Amino acid sequence: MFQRNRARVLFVGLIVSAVVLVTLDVRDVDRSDAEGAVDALRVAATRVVRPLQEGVTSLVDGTGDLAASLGELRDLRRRNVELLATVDELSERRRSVADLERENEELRTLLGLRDRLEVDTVAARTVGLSPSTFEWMITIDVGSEQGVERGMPVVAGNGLVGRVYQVTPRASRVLLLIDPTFSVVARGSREGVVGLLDGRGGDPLLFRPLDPRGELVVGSELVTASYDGGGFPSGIPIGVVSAVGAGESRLTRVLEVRPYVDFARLNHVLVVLSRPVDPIPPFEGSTDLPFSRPPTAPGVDGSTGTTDDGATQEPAP
Amino acid sequence: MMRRSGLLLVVLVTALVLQTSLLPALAIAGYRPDLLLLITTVVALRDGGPSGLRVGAAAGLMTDLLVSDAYLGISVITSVVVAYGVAAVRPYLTSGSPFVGPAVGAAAALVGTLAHGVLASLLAETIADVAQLARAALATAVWAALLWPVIDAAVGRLLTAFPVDVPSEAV
Repeated sequence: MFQRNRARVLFVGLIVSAVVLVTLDVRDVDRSDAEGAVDALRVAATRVVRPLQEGVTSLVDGTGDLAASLGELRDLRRRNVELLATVDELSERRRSVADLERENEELRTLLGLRDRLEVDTVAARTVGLSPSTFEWMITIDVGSEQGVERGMPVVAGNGLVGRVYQVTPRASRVLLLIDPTFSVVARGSREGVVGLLDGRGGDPLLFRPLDPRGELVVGSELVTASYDGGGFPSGIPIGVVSAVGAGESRLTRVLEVRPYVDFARLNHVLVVLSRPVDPIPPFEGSTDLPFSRPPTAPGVDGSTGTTDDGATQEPAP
Repeated sequence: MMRRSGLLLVVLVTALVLQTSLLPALAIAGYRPDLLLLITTVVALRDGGPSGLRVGAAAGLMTDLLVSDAYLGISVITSVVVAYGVAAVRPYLTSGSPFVGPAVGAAAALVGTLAHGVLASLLAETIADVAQLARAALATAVWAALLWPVIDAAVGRLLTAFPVDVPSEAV
């Protein structure tokens, strides 16, 4: 009973005190021109508790961020996927731009070579590489419909690539300079020494000068020579001498030549349409000494080959 | 007795600091628990009227000074009323069900929040948004029911360790 009465008294006393506080606060608010006692009390209480609040708040901020981050996790994952896709797309575009720049540079070089050689050409794109490990060929996307014929030289921006080997209406196969069956008449661009250049697959080209005493040294440049109607316009760069071998005998001498063209990166080439020299007509009145070249092999499209005197040759079996 | 009062004051200050720093970050839809009112309810239910009234008055005063922007004294009134009410029903809560405490805490939070809102509206001469007040009261009640086991365990351990000198009776 004592406790109950005590509680009642305490309750009444607290309620009265609270009402007094409310009254004081209301009066302070009505007298807004001066700071009242209640306001001063609030300021003092705030001053005491504020450091504690700030300390806990600084600890809690990270927690709050974590809770918010957990709520946004799904959205963040979705955005992450979208951003990764965007990054891939932009990277692809960047690669494409780099590829276009490289292609542009290649084509500019090709144009420069064509202007330098002053020949008619047709541009082609490499569409296939020989799958064989012992045959060095490429397939290009121009053929007889574009005026390409068998035996025509093919050049890239750096120099000679090879010669057209087989022709179809819209594609051609090109025997590369490095193929072991490839031979071309070449000469030193400065020294003028003429010789025969042979491909050797992956190894450097082999040059055999007609004059073993020719003054070719390492670093000498070799270009094509229209020697004896060799089929190539004169002056197409081929490569540089990388090694001078000792002569097998006094009459022979071999030199290793490193080609200018990077055959692993052939994307655009030019097919030279111009004939290096006009065909030599047969001697007048001479029927037993006709000028002739070896007959050409038939094209892959089944067309018949021709001899230089115009005779039609049946396709080989 | 002094030690007990001092520890309860520390508990109230700690609750106040958490109320103003941690709980805003954990608020759901803007609603957060009223820790001070919850502690008042726990003390009133465990120790009876005098202890509950003293803790309620202190908690209300702290709320008015540092949390609420209503007139000073309004929270004191509501907390004291809640403490007195809880102490009044305490003798009738003889069930040992674990849901009694959370239910009392929820009811006390509901009444205390509604009373505070109504009083503040009356003194401010404004008409309270009844729907918002009801939502706030319900949310505070749910929070109180959820947090009751934790607060009851913590405060109950303190009250058991430092019992009042004179055993409290029902009001």
